Amino acid sequence: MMDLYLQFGYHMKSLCIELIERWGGGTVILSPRDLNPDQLRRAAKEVVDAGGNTHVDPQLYDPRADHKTLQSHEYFPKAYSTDMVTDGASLRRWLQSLQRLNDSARTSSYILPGRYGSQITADWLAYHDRIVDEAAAILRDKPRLATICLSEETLRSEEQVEDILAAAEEWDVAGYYVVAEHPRGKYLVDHPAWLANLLFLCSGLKLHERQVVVGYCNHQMLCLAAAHVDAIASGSWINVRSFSTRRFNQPAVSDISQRAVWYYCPQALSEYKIAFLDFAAQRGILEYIMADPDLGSDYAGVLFAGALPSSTAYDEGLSFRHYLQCLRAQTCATVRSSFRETLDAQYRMLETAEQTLMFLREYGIRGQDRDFADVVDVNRAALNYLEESRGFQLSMQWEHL
Amino acid sequence: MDLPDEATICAAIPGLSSLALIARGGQKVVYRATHEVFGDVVLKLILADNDDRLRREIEAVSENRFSNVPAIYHTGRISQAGQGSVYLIEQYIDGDTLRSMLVGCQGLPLLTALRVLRDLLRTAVELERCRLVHRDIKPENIIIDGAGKVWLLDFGIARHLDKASITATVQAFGPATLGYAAPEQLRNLKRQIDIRADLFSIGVVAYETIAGRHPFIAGARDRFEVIQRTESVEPPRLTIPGDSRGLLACFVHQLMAKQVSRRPATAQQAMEWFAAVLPTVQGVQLTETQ
Repeated sequence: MMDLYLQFGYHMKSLCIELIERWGGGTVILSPRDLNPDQLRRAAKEVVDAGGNTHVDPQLYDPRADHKTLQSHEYFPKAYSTDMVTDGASLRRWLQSLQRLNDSARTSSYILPGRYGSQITADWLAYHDRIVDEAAAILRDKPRLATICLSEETLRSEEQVEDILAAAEEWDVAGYYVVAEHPRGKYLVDHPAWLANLLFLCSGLKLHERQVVVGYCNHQMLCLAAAHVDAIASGSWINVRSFSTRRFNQPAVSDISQRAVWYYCPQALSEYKIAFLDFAAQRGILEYIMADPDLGSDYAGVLFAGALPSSTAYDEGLSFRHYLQCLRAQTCATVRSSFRETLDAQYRMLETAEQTLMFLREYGIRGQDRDFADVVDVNRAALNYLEESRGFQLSMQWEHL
Repeated sequence: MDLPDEATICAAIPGLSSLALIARGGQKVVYRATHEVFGDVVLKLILADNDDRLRREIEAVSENRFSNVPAIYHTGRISQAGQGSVYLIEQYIDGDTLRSMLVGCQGLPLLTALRVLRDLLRTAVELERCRLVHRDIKPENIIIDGAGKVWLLDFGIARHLDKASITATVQAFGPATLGYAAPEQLRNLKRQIDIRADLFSIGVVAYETIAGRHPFIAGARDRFEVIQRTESVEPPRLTIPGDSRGLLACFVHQLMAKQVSRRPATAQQAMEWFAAVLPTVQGVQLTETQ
């Protein structure tokens, strides 16, 4: 089964607790960028008390990042220099401060620091080798996940992906935490090679028979089920549903500039602004946008109770809850008993989305920049590449992954 | 420096007689011979100044016992006029090389090809357990004996993954046979070389044995084209009678994948995949004892 982790973002604590209680468990990846040390400790306690697990993403993608809340944490470098990694004593002290952070957050696994690099170079590999090796000696009390932070350019290069796979195989870790920069900062990725290479990388990592968690995902990444990824992580705002290093250099709130309320239509894999739901109601097709009740979301019921959607109490909080509840139900249902069945289910999901989108478009209902119509074929192409490149391996190993 | 002559060899190695030349190179000579204790044997002799590879071969084979590799009975040195040579005496296998069987035919019967593939994979599993990579699996180094058993010879460029390499790291090309060596071996990318390099070679041998043509050499203009094809050209898809689901062809192509990460992760995994694929091939019954 592929799981959905909660990627902590701005003001997500109560949402996380509520969903963890509703789901009877779950994992939250806490964000030092959004929680100062006290807040992080308190949030972690509440998540654990609610029956959840915690991880902390150390967010050291750019160790020189100047975000105020990030800088408030002891482990985050105040004046980073490469000596912190090349000098054994400094690295040990650094990892020990990370250990204290993880202890205070009661984490069930460590996420090790990983650096953003526009290219995979010998230096990038050496940096990660050093951290993984030293962590194996110091952070021994729980499983370690190595962070693999990928630039847009890296994911366009098959050769660089191979370099990562060769290096990561040697790392003494229980798994990998993959974060991938979206091309041109787009929420839905319209670049087939990027998505194909992400699938190829994740399936290759999974074939190392280790855990693979992909952070900062939206519903487009449901296709990672075909790579037998263990979990994807998503959250409320789009800056925790797609990855960009810019987030770690910006003030806490200003990046949330557009606060429109969206509704996720799972069968269309698209999101719609409430104004378009009003229009769908006017055209008499609102019921076609309603999520299947089997997905378990009652957060958006008010939209379909007869009143004009924009006149209801459906707000941003309900929008996030609805999105994450539906996404979790979809995520948990994506991995099937064989690679073939999983792949076929993915193709069927795309087919359903395509048909739904065509129908809605006939009535003028569009998701604007969150409409999946333009990326259906991107996902198809990526899945097709995965089938060609890894199909035999995944078919043979599926039960063991 | 010269290698010792036959009379000197027989005088220096008690019990050895009836030397018959098999192959001779500048630094190395190989004989078939009779030994009063071991019976029919192969004698390999190499100039002492060039004995690193023979020493590596002796270490690889005599420290481990492999089911499909001729046993080494005895090793020693011969001195002649102040010059030294190293020799080894190993089990003689009465059979034909796979190369000689492939000459002039359009591929071997599928059952024979599958037996070759299975036995090479078995040997790879044993090599993997000993942290060894053969690095020179090719039809010239494979003998099929009268009982149909497949033997792998010549560990002259074998590498123990935990021991220092003989080849200089800066060398652009590693020791290899063109057409059979994996891309990472050709490019001497030591960090990437492990048993999966042998799996690549086994895939090439399997392809050639089944199809009767080499996936990279057939039709190539020169050695540079062989390298280019090995590194970047996908060979024509195998069509195998009885392989109705195409899984055997997929398996062979997967062994020959250019990228290491696309091959089976281990020899053991390759063996398991082969065992899973075999029942899908119609019209052949390959039993354990065949």
